[in-house]
This record gives sequence, structure tokens and C-alpha cells, in this order.
Amino acid sequence: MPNLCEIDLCKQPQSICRIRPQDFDLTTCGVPQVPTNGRFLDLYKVYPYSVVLAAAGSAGDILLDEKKSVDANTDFILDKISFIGTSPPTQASGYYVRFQWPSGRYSSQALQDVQTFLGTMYTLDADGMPQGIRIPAGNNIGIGLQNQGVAAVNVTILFEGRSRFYLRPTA
Amino acid sequence: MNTVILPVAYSNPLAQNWRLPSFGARRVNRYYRYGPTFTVAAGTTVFNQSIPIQGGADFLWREVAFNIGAALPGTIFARFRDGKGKRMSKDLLAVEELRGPIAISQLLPRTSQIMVDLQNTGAGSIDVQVILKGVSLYQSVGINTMPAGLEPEEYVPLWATYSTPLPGWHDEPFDYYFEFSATALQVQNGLPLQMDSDADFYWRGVTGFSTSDDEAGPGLQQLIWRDAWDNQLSPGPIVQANALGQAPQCRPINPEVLCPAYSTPTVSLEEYAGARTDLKFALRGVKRFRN
Repeated sequence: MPNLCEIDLCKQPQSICRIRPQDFDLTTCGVPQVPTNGRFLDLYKVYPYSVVLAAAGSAGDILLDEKKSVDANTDFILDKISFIGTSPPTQASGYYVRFQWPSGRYSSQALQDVQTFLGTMYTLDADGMPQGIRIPAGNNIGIGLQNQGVAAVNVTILFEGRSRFYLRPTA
Repeated sequence: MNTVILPVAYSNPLAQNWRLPSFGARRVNRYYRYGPTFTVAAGTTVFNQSIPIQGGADFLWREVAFNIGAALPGTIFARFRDGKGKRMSKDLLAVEELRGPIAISQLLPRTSQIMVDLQNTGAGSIDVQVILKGVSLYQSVGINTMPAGLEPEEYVPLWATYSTPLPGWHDEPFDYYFEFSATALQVQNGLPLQMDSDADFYWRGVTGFSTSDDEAGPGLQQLIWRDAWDNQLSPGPIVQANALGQAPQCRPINPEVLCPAYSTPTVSLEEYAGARTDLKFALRGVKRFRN
């Protein structure tokens, strides 16, 4: 058997199992079981946020204290931020954006043009996993926005990631 | 009956076995011929005519033949030289004398060459085809091989080259965002890119673009980055289209550049398109914090 392994949910290497005839026997299936060594289960989740930013110089062109709350029953592991909308940002109609995490830290040292951001800002860990930002259950993602264009702009932001359900071993 | 089904392959299980590469075989041999044609004018000799060996495989040269067309026997002479021009016989020999198996097979490395001198003692110009027969020796995985000594390093994804935080530390994604305006043809040296004081920053990519309200359109700038120790990151200015990625695709900075807390990397800008411009860019990477 080659020295191959797969990584389980907790990043623990596991030997590859040989396929056995009994693996195809579904009569023994029962209720779902907690994966071995599994401590949590991640399910895809997206939190959308939308607002209309007024034209620069008018009321509502700067919104620095916006918030997006995550569900109160699960932590949220944020690993991607997408910007969409009826008028997707362009280099001519872009706006400025910055995020604040529950730790109080910001995503950048200043509001940045969304055109330098767009998709995910996150790099991968040295093990190839996305570097997610943990938003504890019930906490907020702070959002700062500013429109420097002469026209109002529709802002739609998708916070994509994983809802983390912690598992409790059954007796 | 064997109750264990052993997987035959770990790649595509639907692929036929014969399509799978044989990782056990060191070489894949294939009969091959090289047959370049050289034109030799009447009464002349051409020297050092190159026969290049392809880059995908070494060539084990076992036999030689010549196609001299309508030339009379005894009018075409040849002499081989190795890849560096060293003669493999003292004199030119009649091709009728040379043709046939080579007593000791010659291994010609991939991307090397062998050369031949050709003499035409006849009265008319002759196209002489020099035919090298032998075996191409491929590496086991196929034809995607490199010249000897230039084999690529094992593929390593970019993220695997990043530094990892020590125990008790962790990384958080972070962007440093800057805007710099320039008038037409303006040169600005050593513009500060001030780092925050709370954590070191590991710079892994950059995105950016330029805008302008100038009727001539946005100007274009070229950049020279300098790290916190004033090391220039390029020998000369790099035009913005090459220096900046278009979000969300970063222009990778690899290896990552450490920008310590409190430090001040710099950028030098030179507008070269003759128009006013606002350059916006984000240095993207991670901050490293204690847990």
C-alpha cells in the first residue's frame, strides 16, 4: 500500500481505507454518526448586505458604522467577501470600503477603493486552507463605506464562509 | 474468494490501465529517426551542418543512412562531428562507406546537437538527406521533460511557500491601501508606505489601477518598490500593468516581503504617458499577531 493518506475534518492524517464489499451494504446504515475525532461541522453560509450609497457630498454618502450580524447559534468563519449588485463596481463607479472584525481590528488601515479589493482578500494557510476570520455567534461584521462618485451607487456585499456547528459526542 | 477489493489506481479509476503512466519504468524507448536535408552545391564542401536533438528525449544513435538522390555513387562524402565540432573521423568518407550500423552506439543528450561536413564532388547541386536512426529515450512520465540539468523543481503551490506563525501566534488577512496622484511626467521618489504599529505585515500580493479626470485619460506610472530596509525590489521601474494585479487577482509577491511594525517601505513612481493620474493600490497580505 503506498504511503498515501487523507486529511480528516480536524486535519488529522488518516490511512486510506480499502474498499470492502460490506461497504456497499446499505442495510446496516443507521443514524448519522459523529465523524471520528470530529469536533465541528462546517456548512456553507453567506450573509448578504445591501445599501444605496448616495452621491458624494449629499447625505448618506458616507456610512462608517454599518453592521452585519451573524446568526446567534453558530460561529461564522468568514473566508470570502464578494462585491456584486445591480451596478457592479467599476473603476469609474467604485466606492470605498473597510471592514472591522469583532476583535476590533480592521481589514485595512484606511478605506480602500473597492476595485483594489473585489473578491476574497484572504490568502491560504501554509497547509492550503483558507485563512478564515472567526465571527463569534451573534457578533457583527463592521462595515465602513464611502462614495466618492457623483452618482448614487448600489452596494451589495456577500460575506461568504462557513457556519461552524460544534459537535458533542453522543453517549 | 478474496474479500478485499484492491484499488488498481489512485487517479481516475475509470481510466484504462494502459493509459496510466508507468511510474515504475525509468525510461520509455521509442524508435526514432532524424533526417535533415542539406543542399550541397557542385564541387563544394559545407562544414558544421547542425542536426539538433529534440529536447524531449535523449537519442541513442545506432545507425546512419544517406539519401543522395540522383548523385552518382562516390561523389558525396561526409564526416560527422560531435556537438562541439570535434571531428569523428580524420577525413571525409564516401557516404556509401559510412552508411550502416554504428559499431558503438552514441548517446546524444536531449537539446544537444551533432554536426556533419558534406562534400559534393559531382557536377550538380545535390540535396543530401542525413538520416540518423536510433532510439529516443523518454523519461517515464512522458514528453514533458526538460534539458538535462534544467529539470524544474518539484511543483510547490504558492501558499506552501508562505511563512507560518510560531506557536502562540496567528495571521490575520490585511490590506494596506494607498493613493498617489501625479502630474504628467512627474517623478516621485521614496514615497512612504507607512506600516501600522500593531503587528508585522507579510506582503504577499498587490492589486491596483489608475484613474484620472484628465481629458487625456489616466496617465500611466511605473514603479519601484523598496522594502523596509531600502532594498530595491526590482532593478528598474516596472510599468503599472505589470506591477499591479487587477483585483481580485493579485500580482503575487513571492517570496513574501516582511514589513515590520512601525517600518516604512517605499515606492518610487514615474508617470510616463504624459497625463495626470491617480494611482490606487493595495498591498495585500497578513498581519501576524500574538494569540
